[in-house]
Amino acid sequence: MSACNVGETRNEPQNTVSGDWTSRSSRSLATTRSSSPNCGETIFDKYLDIIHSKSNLSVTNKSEPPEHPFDFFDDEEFAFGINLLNNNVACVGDNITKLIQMAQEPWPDNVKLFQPYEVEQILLPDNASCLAVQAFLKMCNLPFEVEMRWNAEFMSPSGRVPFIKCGAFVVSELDSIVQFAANKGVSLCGRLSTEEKAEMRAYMSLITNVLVNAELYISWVDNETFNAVTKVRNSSVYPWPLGWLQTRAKRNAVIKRLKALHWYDKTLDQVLADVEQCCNSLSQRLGDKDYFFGTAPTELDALVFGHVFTIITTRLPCRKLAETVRKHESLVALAKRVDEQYFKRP
Amino acid sequence: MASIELDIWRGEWGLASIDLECLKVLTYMKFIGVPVRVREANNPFFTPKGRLPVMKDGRNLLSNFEEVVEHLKSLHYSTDVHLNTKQAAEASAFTQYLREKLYPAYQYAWWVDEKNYCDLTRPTYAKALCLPFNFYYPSHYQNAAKEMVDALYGEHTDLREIEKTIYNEAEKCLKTLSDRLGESEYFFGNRPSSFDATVFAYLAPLIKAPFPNPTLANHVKGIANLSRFVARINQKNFRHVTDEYNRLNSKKQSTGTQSEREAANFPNQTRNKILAALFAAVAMTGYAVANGMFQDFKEFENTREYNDMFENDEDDN
Repeated sequence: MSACNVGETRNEPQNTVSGDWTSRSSRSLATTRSSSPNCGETIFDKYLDIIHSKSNLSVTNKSEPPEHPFDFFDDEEFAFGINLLNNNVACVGDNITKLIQMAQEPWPDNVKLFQPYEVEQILLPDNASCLAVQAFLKMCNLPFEVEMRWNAEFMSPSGRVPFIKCGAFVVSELDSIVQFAANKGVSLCGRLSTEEKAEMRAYMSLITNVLVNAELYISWVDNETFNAVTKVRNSSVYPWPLGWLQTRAKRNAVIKRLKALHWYDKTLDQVLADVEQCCNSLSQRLGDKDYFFGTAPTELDALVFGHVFTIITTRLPCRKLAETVRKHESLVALAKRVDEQYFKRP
Repeated sequence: MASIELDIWRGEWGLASIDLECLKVLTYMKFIGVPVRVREANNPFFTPKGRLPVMKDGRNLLSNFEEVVEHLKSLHYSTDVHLNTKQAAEASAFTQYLREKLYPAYQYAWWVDEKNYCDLTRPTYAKALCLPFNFYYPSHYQNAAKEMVDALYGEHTDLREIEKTIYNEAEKCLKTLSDRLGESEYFFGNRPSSFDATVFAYLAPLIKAPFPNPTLANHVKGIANLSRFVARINQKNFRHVTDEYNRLNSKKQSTGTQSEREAANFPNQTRNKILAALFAAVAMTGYAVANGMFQDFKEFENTREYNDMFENDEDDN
C-alpha cells in the first residue's frame, strides 16, 4: 500500500493545516491534478500517430496484455505520475507515451473511493453524490473499495466529494468519473443513439440543477434542519472552535452558490414546487420501464438512484422534501430496484 | 382584455433586444401572437428587481420568463399545448441543461471577459440607459455575473482556466443541442414551443453581436443547423427589425458623408453641449454661493457708504 501512502502524505499535511477557508495555493496544486483525464485525452489524440509509428512499442489497446505492466504499488511509478501531472504534463517524448499508457491501462484492482464518514459526518447532498458514484461503478462492474476519511472533501481535487484514486489518477465527481471510465473503455451508454445521449445529459442536468440545489437549500438554508442536523454533523469531526468556524465558512460558501443561481431568494414552498416539477418530469420520462433507457441502467439511473434513495431514507426534521419525492412511485421503485440489484449485502 | 405592455432593453445589430431574458419573452410572445405594446425602457430603476424585462398586464407586474409563461397560460395563450407529457418533461430537462451549461458561458462572454465588456457590453448598455444610470447598471450587472462565475467555478484560481472550462462545457452543450435538433424545423414537432424561444434567445445575441473576443460566438456559428435555426426564427418573427437595421446600415454606408456619420454616431451633440454649459454654470454659481460671495455684496449694500454714494448722486443733479 505504499502508493496509497504517497498520495496521502502529499495530501494530508496541506489540507489539514489549511481547511476550506484556505489560501488558494493548496488548491492550485490540486487542480492541476484534476485536469489529468482531459489532458490525457487530448494528448492521446495528438500523439496517437507517434505511438503508431513506433509500432514495435504497440502500447495502444486494452486487448494487448501488458508486457511490462505498470505496478501502481510501486512508489517510483506513482511519484512519476504525480510529477507529470504537477508539471501540467509539459513534457514530451517517452514520458507522454508512458502517461498515455497509464491512462489506457485497464481498470486496476486497488481503486479507492474516498468519502466522508457515513454514520456521523456525511450530509444529505454529499451522501447523494457518493451513492450515485458507487452505483455507477457497481453498474459498470468495476471493483472499488470505499474508504472513509473525515477530510475527504479537502483531499478531493475539486473540493467536492466523492473522488476515486485509480493508479496515479485522482478523479472527482460523477461527470469526470464517467468520462474517466469511458477512456478506459467502460461505458454504460454505448448503445444509445446521439439523440438519446443528448436527452440523457439534459436529464442529468435537471437533477444536478434542481435536486442538488434543493438538498443544499434544505441542509444549509432551512434553519430548522441546519441547527438540528447540519451544524452538528458537519462540526462533529473538528475540535471545538474549528468546527464552528468551518461550519460558518461552508455555510457562507453554499449560500453564495445558491444566491448566484437565484435559489437563495426562494421560499421553502417554491423549492418544493421545483422539486415536484423535476420529479414529475423524471417519472414521466421513466414511465413504467425498468430503467430510463430500456432494460439496462445508464449513469442517469445511477444519479437518480443516488439522489432519490438518499432523500427518502435520510431522516430530517423537515419531512416535506422526502414526502414530495416519495409521491412519485416509479422513482421510488427504481431506487429500490437498483438497491436490491447492486447493493444487496450478503 | 387590457393590452399587455412589455418593457425591454433596446435592440441592436438587427436584434429585437440585446438582452437574453427580454429576447426570450419577446420571442415567446411573437410565437403566440398575443397583442403587446413593446416599449424600449431606458431605466430599470423602478422595476421590481432592478432588471428588465417587465411585463405589465393590468395590475400584474411580471419580471421573468417562467412567470410570463404561466400568466399567459392562465389567459389561455400557450405554445406548449401540442407537447405530450413526455415531451414537456424533455423540454424542462433541456431548459435546465442550457441553464447549467450555456448560461455561465453566456454571462462570461458578455460580462466577465474584460475585452468584450469594455468594447461591447458596457457601451451597448450605456447607450440603452439614460444619463445617471449608465454609470451604475453596467458595472452592477458585471458584478452579479462575476459573482456567479466565482460561486460556480471558484475552485479554479486562474481566470483563464475558468474560461477554458466554461467554454468547453458550453461547446459540449451546443453539440448536444445540435444533435437533438437534427434537421427538423423546431425542437418539438413542427410548431414552435417555449423551449424554441429559449434556445433562440441564447443563440441569437451570440451570433449577431460583434464580439471582440468571439470564442463562444464562433462555437455557435460553427454549428450549421443551429445557425440556420436562428436565422429561420429571426426571419419569421423579427423580419421588420432586421429589415430596418439593414436599411439603416446600407444608408449609412452609401450616402453618409463624414460629418453625417459622425452626427449619427453622436445623435444628441447639441443638446449635450447645452447641458454641459448649464452644468458648468450651475456648478460655478453654487461654488460662489457656498463661498459667500453674494453675502458680501448684500452686506455692502446695507453699509452707510453705499447709501452715501446715492446721496452724492442726488447732489450732483
